[in-house]
Amino acid sequence: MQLDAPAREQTKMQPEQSDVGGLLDEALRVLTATPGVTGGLVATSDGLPLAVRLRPDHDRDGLAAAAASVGRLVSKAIAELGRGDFQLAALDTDRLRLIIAPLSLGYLLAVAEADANLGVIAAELANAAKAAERAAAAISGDDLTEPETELTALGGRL
Amino acid sequence: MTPGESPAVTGRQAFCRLPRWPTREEQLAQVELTGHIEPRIGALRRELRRNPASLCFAELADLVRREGNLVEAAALCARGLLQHPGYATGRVVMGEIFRDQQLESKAEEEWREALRMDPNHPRARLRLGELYLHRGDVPRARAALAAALHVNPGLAEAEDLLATIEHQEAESAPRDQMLRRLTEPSTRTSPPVQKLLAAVGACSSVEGALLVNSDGLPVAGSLTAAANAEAGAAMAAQVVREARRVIAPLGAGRLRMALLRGSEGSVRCLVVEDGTLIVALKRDVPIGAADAELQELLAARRARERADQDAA
Repeated sequence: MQLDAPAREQTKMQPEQSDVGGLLDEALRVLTATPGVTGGLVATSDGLPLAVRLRPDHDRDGLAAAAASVGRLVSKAIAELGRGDFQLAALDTDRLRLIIAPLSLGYLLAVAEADANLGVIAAELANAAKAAERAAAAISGDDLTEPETELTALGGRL
Repeated sequence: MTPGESPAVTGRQAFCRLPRWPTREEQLAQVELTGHIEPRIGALRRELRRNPASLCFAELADLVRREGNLVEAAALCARGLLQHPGYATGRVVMGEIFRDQQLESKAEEEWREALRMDPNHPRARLRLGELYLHRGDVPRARAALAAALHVNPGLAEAEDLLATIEHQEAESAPRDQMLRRLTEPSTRTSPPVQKLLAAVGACSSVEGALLVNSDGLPVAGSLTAAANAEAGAAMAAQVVREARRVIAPLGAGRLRMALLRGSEGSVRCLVVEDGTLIVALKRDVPIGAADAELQELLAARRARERADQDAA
């Protein structure tokens, strides 16, 4: 079968992409080891799940879509309010706490228990975001020595 | 009014004037602008002849509509929908044909049907937004257009219409009224919420607080010195509405509050009975300290309410 140019490139990229999946999965593994965190995922800006580490009773597609749709609005709201760049959004419900952070490739979401410590989770989310940005750099071929996220010092401020 | 000056148009009248349906001349002018569509129509006709079950009927009907041939467009679309009754885009195109034929209620029916099939269809939401605006129902128009933009952030038509709404609103609302709304508790809020607003505003960790009603309109309080603070508060309230919408099917329970953290400060969004309370936190105050202060305030309020109920 003759492949056109983009298809050939895609085929060639497959091993790299699986590495990227491994990097994202490792980032989520560390994040979900944080006390109180019950799950995590990386979603594209369109709301598609890229990497997922959730309990079976969690709706992965629903959570990925939620992270993207809320994340987009938060980004606009924070800019309008003169609060700088979007760093983090936390949604507190009766049963759980959803924490969303922006990534260059979409959004990172942590699902936590309702009474989980936000400061601790934010710090781990910052680390996971760094790792996810390294994975994003692997996809784009960029050499990112410093991640684009501004979450680094966030844990200390919460 | 001096000669040549337009009569003042305010409120509902102004919105009714915005998105009138295109006239025949405008439709023809659009065809001139899109002169390249003829070859595409030819290609689609050939495709439909080759494969009568093709979904390309919707695009073909749309292009034929744009050329002004509404009867043929309606026939093409109706025939296609007979074979594909669940094709949401086909329904949207059918609605646009009805709209051009000035059959407003039939157009609305089609767009609603399209949304029933595909709740995230941006063009269906856009068309419904236009329709509501045409009828002067600004809150519904705003919601539909915002939803269209939410699904497809690049939808320029929806962006333009929302910008026009905001422009018209700013022009039609007298400035002193707007200032009063920002500095005084509104009579549209219940006394307990007015008290809460004042108490939250007085917290040492709070820069400002503003109540946004269920229509997404700021109604009382003042937030920050940021130029777009009011628009930002409305958008923060939209975050809460969107979060409630997406969280509900996930079985996560009721949304109680949200924190929006930026590189230059944070905003707390609290769900209250009259809408959403947007609280701008002082930049140098840790979130934990601000939260503790707010929680203490809310707990005291709840305790007072319980005591009042018991007394009653």
